[in-house]
Amino acid sequence: MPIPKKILLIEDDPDQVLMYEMELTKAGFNIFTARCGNEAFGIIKKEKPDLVFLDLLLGPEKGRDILAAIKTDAEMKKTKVVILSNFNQKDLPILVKKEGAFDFLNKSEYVPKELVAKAKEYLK
Amino acid sequence: MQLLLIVIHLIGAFITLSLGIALLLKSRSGVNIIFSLLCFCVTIWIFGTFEILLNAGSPDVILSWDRFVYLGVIPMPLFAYHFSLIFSKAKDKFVLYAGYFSTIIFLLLSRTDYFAREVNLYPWGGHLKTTALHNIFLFFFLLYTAITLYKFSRYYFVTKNSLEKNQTKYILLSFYILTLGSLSFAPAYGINILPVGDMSAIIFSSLIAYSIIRYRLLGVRVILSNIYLYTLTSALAYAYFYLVLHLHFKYLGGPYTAAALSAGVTLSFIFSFIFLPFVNYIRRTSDTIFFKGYNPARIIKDLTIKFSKVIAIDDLLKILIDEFKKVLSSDQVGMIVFRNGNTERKNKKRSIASRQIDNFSVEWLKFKGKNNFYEEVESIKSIKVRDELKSIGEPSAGIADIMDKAGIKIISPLIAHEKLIGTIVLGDKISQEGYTQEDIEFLEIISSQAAVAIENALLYKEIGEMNKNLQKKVEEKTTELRDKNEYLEKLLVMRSEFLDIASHQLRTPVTVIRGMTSMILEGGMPENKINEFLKAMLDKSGKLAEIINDILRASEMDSEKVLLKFTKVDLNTFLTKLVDDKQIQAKTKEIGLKLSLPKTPLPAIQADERYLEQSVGNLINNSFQYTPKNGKVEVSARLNGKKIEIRVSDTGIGIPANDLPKLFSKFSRASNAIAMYTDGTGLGLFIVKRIIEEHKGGKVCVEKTVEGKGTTFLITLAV
Repeated sequence: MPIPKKILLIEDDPDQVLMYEMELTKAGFNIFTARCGNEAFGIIKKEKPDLVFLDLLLGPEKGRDILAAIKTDAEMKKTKVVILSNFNQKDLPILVKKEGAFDFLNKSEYVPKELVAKAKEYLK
Repeated sequence: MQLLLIVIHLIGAFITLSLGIALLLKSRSGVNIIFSLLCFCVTIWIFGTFEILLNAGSPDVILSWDRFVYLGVIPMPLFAYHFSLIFSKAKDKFVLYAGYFSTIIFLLLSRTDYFAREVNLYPWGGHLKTTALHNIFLFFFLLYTAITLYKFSRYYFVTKNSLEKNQTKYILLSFYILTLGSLSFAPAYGINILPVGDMSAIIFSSLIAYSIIRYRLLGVRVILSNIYLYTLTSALAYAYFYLVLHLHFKYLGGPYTAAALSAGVTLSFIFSFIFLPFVNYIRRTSDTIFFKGYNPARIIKDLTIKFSKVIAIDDLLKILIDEFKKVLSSDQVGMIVFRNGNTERKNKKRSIASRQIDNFSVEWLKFKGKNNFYEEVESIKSIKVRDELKSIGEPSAGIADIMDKAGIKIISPLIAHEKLIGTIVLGDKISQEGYTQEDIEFLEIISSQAAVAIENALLYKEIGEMNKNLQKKVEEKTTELRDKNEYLEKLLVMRSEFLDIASHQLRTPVTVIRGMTSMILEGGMPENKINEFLKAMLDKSGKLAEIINDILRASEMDSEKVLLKFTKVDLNTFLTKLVDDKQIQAKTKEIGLKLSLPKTPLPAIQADERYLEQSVGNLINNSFQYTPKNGKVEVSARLNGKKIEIRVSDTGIGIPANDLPKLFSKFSRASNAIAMYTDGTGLGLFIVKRIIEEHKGGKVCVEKTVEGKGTTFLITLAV
């Protein structure tokens, strides 16, 4: 049995955490969740997740700041970060990819099952 | 001596004849005809005497010429008297008719021996020997002369018209001198004196001519100046001709020799060189004599050059005023330029565009009611001299009235393109003398020139003002457009931010509802999880409804006047219920929510309960959303005079001062709001403001806010 891939979900809305955690766990991933940047950085450094889903609106923090922090930290910068947001400005996906994101997903376009499929695709 | 007398008489006859003809040519008015007749009589007298002097020693010739002289002498006192009547506007018909009757009788009888016969011969000539009737005539002569002098003297003291006073002064003097001519009767009684009394006739006519020139008496200045010019010019031609003739006879052996003819060519050239400068010289002296040193052409030329250098109306007026003061020697000079003199005819309201008034009071400058200055000036159309106007009560009374009140002696309307644009007014001369004919003509000419210059200046001013206004308007509009543009740009940015946020806020609950639904449908989920999911979905759909509500309400309020349904609302129950409803939310957020009402129940107010609930509710929601866990939110209400004050205060993050001004506008969120509250649409406060302001006496504001400590919103409503 292969070692389950580690996914970190950075999200502050408890309903969404509940939903995505349940589906991803069911799919066999090892899920970690964080509500804020600091929590996330700790997990990234300790667990070295294979994939990070990052929300853009996190209480006092902006997801893009967290992305920047990950991408400028020598220890974390290799982490594969996928932005998961309900913002859908046209240029946003290009922008975040330039800033180091691996991909950009519009939350409302993916039900949890489809997100799992996406995660599998990223981790191939 | 004899020759001198002959020449003087010839000149005298010529002058008086010219004067008489000139007067008739100028005008056939009563005064001119009578005075011409008087001149002709004097001419007959002087010319007759000239013939007598010429024929000294021939009794028969002298007899017939002396009878000729009496043809002129007999009517003289009567014409003089008649002239005095007309001039002093007196009516004394009996004396006049009696005079005419007597004159005719004397004229008829003067041909007979009852009047005179034979001749008293003297070395210089002679005179008829008088008989009985001549004595009666002499009495008649002296009587009418005396009455005439009396008439003029009285008029001199009676008249208040300074111009007429001056005229009378000269007439009186002339007639006194003419009276000296009575000495010429002496030879008739055997007294041998030279006919120097006739000199009085020459002095008389010269004085009259002078007063004509100086004081517009009988008005023949132009004709006289022409007679002067032509006489002297022809005199030159004659003199030159005789000089040449003399030279020819003396040195060239007669005018028809070859030498004379060839010299004639050279002499003609010389004449042509002399002629023009001479004529110009005469013309100049004519100006000096007849126009009192005015050379209208030169003054106008100078003025026109000055005009052309100025375009500012005030400067132009100053130049004109100075010129008037200089030329007319008056220090009371005023120029008034009417504003919109050529437009706005309908409302008849006039004002002054520019004026310069030196040494006048200005109370008479009014444009309303009786003696409306503009209307009165407009009615006169041409230059008016106060002394020549009819007295008060007649057609020109209005302007006369104004002139009297203001002390104006002359008023000259400035007319350009048949429209009255202004006026010149003159008070007394410094010398207190009357204005002369040349003064008035100068004014007339300058007025028309000035009118054009002033009109140009007015137009220039108008264009200048128009330009200024236009520029100002353009600048205003540009600023307005720029502001509007900036506002629109800002609005666009805000709108796009709003759309980003609103769509995010709409999608978030949808994502959860959709995601969870799909998971439940996949099946295999434990019952307790399903329940947890359903609860979350319910919560999210509630949020969704709230957001949709906000957006709809905001767009409704943005597009039209909000239509509220006012009913009586009891604030005590209203607030209690609202705060109770919000307690659940407060608990979830772990925030303390409290309501404090005064002990005395609040009075009911007229309000739309549903909208008011949304407003206060929005403020409470805002407080929840910007207040961290364990914070406090308090709703309170109290009566302050005739106002109800509802406060919603929290211990939240506060609002930065920079964001306060735009706080209540659409799509606006405080710059620090994004940090705390991710569900805000930026519409809440805009809706609150619109709703509250639709209520009677309704106002909403941030009463106080401290960043990091909290905010208090205050709603004020009228009872």
